[in-house]
Amino acid sequence: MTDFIQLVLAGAADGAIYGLLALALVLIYRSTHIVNFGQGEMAMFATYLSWSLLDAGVPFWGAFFAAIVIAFFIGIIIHRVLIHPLEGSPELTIVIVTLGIYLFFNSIALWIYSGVPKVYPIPAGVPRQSWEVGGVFIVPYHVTIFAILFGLMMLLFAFFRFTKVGLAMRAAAAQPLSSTLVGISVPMMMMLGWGIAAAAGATAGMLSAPIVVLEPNFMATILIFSFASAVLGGLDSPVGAVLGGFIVGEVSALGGRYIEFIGNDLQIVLAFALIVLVLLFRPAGLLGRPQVVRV
Amino acid sequence: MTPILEAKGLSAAYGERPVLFGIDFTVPEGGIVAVLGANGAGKTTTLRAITGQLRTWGSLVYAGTPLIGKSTAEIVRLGIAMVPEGRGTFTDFTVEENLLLGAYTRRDKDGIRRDIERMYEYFPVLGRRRDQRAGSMSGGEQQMLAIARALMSRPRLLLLDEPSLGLAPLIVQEIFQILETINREEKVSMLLVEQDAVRALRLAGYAYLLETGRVALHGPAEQLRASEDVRRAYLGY
Amino acid sequence: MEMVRRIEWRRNWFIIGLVVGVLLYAFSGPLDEVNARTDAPGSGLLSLAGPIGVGLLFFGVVGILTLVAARVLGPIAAKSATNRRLMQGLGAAILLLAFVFLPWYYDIFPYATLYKLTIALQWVMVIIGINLLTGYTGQISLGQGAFFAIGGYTLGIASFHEWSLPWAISLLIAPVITGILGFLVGIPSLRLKGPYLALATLAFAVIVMPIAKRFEEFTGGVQGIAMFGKIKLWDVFADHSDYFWYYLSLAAAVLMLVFVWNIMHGRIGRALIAIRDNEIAASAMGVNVALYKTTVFGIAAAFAGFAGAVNAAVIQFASPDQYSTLVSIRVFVGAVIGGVASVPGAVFGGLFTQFIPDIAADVSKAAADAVQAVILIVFMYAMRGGFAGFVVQTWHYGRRGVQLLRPAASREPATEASAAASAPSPSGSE
Repeated sequence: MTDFIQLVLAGAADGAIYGLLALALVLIYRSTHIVNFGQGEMAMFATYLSWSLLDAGVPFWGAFFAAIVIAFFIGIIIHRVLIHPLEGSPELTIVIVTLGIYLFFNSIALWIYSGVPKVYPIPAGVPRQSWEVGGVFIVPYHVTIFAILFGLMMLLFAFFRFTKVGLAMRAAAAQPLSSTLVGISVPMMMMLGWGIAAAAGATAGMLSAPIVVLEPNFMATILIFSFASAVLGGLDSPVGAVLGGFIVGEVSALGGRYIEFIGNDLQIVLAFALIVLVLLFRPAGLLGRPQVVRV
Repeated sequence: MTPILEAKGLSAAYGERPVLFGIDFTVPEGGIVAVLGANGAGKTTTLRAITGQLRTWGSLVYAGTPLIGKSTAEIVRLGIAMVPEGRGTFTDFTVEENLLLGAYTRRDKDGIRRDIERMYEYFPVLGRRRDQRAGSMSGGEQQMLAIARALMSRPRLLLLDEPSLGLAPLIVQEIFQILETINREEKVSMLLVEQDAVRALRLAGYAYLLETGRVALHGPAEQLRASEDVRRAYLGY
Repeated sequence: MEMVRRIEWRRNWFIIGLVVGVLLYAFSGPLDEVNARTDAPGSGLLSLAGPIGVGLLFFGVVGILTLVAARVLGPIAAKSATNRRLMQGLGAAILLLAFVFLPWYYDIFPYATLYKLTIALQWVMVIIGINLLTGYTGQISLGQGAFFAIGGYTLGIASFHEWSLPWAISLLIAPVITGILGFLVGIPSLRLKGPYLALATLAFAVIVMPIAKRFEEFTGGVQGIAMFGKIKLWDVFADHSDYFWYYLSLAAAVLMLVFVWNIMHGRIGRALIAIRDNEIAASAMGVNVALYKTTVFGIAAAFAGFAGAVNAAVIQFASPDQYSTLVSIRVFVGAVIGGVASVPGAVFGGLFTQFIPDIAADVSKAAADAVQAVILIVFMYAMRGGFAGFVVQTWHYGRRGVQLLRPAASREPATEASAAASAPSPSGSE
């Protein structure tokens, strides 16, 4: 039983990270109807930047927040330079460009940082020793991940719910034309959306780097799990993305342990199976809104 | 009276296809002007041209500022609000959020608050449903919300595209009465595009009749109402 | 300055590009030396000049030839349907002959070797499948690399690792297996559209290798299956195995093209296009949308599977390393850059997939993929319809008449007369 609880806790920690990156995907999908295949690599690159800052002696949280801010601006620039000019282009074109973003960051990171894995520290002030509660070991770093995810969710919720810009961003995503008519600059809102998504992705990257290792491909697998989470929750639902992240995290943690065939290296197959099952029975995802198709 | 909006030789095109061919019209400060015409005559196009949603040529001056070449967002910031055809409310948002979005270009928080309350006075039904999703309201209520939302930007000029479309006659009457009150009390000038020529001519002081992208006839509303041609073609009595 | 502004860039960039390309190419001699000396960060920028020059030259020559062809041959083709078909046939024959005799003159092209060209033809096969799938039914598949891998493993397992069927039989079994698999994958894909389908197929591409590694007794696990020297060709070809595989690949690619061409110009093709343009309307007209879509998925997978099997035979190896997820992405990118739904597009796409990494590595060895990413992004900006779209647009532009400068009066109001004059011509490309 304690073994089971232990697994659930670990799965939830993974799930929180998948949920965060899935949140980034959803934020972009909602505002621009683009699935950004480069999201994970952008996050990976931001994580490397924070590593460089740490390496240069910047304190952990300083590097952490600096990387988030830099990622925000990278997101904004990418939208401005690459995505916005392609408005109205066929979907294929945009898919290719986001694949280009993937290749670009992957290669640049390999070039600058080489493929040798780097050790990424857990945040300063987080104890390394696990707490034992009734035979179950609680990893303090996992608690940190939950706390950051929770804090970020609250922050985003408050931003979208109570601020003028947040309201305008939601409006621009839902009804671009009407938004233009009340004076909202829709491209500006999309740009902000890309920035926020990149910042959320960077957070996911920096939180997962201590668990896995920091190397140029470390976000690729996480991205697939996050895609699964986002699709599971419904590509247009931020809450669904986080929920989906937890489900994917648990399913792969428990499945990896209790289904002998799966083991540690085939968990991604479970994620794939989840995607297929969900799409077959609830194509819009758990919390997504079904699209009405017009002829 | 000084004009708030003056168009001279205004032409517009959807892509390469021209749809307006050099029309002239004037909206006097504080006045209500109606644009009438059959489907496809270019009424909605005229409003889109004013708000910069199409490629336009010619001269279009709003309170001394030329509008040609400006983006929609810029034009809205200058004090022109539009109620698009088919309501144009934010259906997934609450009534209150809709009104807040309408005031997007404003910075005065207290003024916005006061204006929201004032809108609830003009449209009491909106006040009762302030937390309801716009999309779940009736057509008439949504139209009222769309007008209130447009007024929230404190416009000097309000563009209305077929406010009576698809609504029951009683509701239309109520809406037109409120429009008249707003015009009187708030000194908002209005450019009204309508199919329902009878009502439009009763509300407006001056009217233009469009035919295939050109002004076919214009004059004071009473005069058009009296005109034999207009009566037969558009008023149906 | 005014002059520069008045040039109609969107339509004429390749003509100006040709001039710039010639200049860059002419002066890139010393730059090559710079590139050879150092591969430090920054040298990439300098060495860009050569490849950019080559690229501009290529498009300049293709563009101008298209313009000339449009001016000279266009009017003849427009005369009758027979003329048009004759010319298409002639074009296809020239393209085919160019490939048939390629082994005798390929060394005039930079980067080309017979081995690489053979593999490029295998990409062409995969891309023909993607063309059918994406170009004609609008389904995006980022998972073709998985079928390619399964094809390769089929050859290895059936002929060398587990059983010992003759390799020629295994080559034929591979497309059957991947075709059935593709059909099955196509079934859940029926419910998916656009980005969802792209994601699901990408996930499929990702899971194939972990699964292959798991079934170690069949697939050789991480080691893969080596077939060095085990593939015995018939005596006639034994000494010319490289030619043999080149011509086998060419023949297979041509057969696939003919097959797709036949499909597309018949009843099935019309049904497929109806599905792409409006699925619901198509099903309302009685088209069995589900059957068509899954079948097309199966055909595309079979093509990829056969290509994978031939590829494994040429490389004489099938291992997880050569089938990373990037293979799927690369062929898909190649297909789109070539231009979906077109024969020359598929050929160009295959060559692009094979040679662009070489060209990119030439610019900067350290960040080759970054260079490649920039190349493909620039490509998507310059040619939204891919290479094929570029040729088609240039052809139409040539037919209408070349116009280097923008008419000075383009900002004038549209008068009724000009409206009437411009209304029938579909010049909505602005």
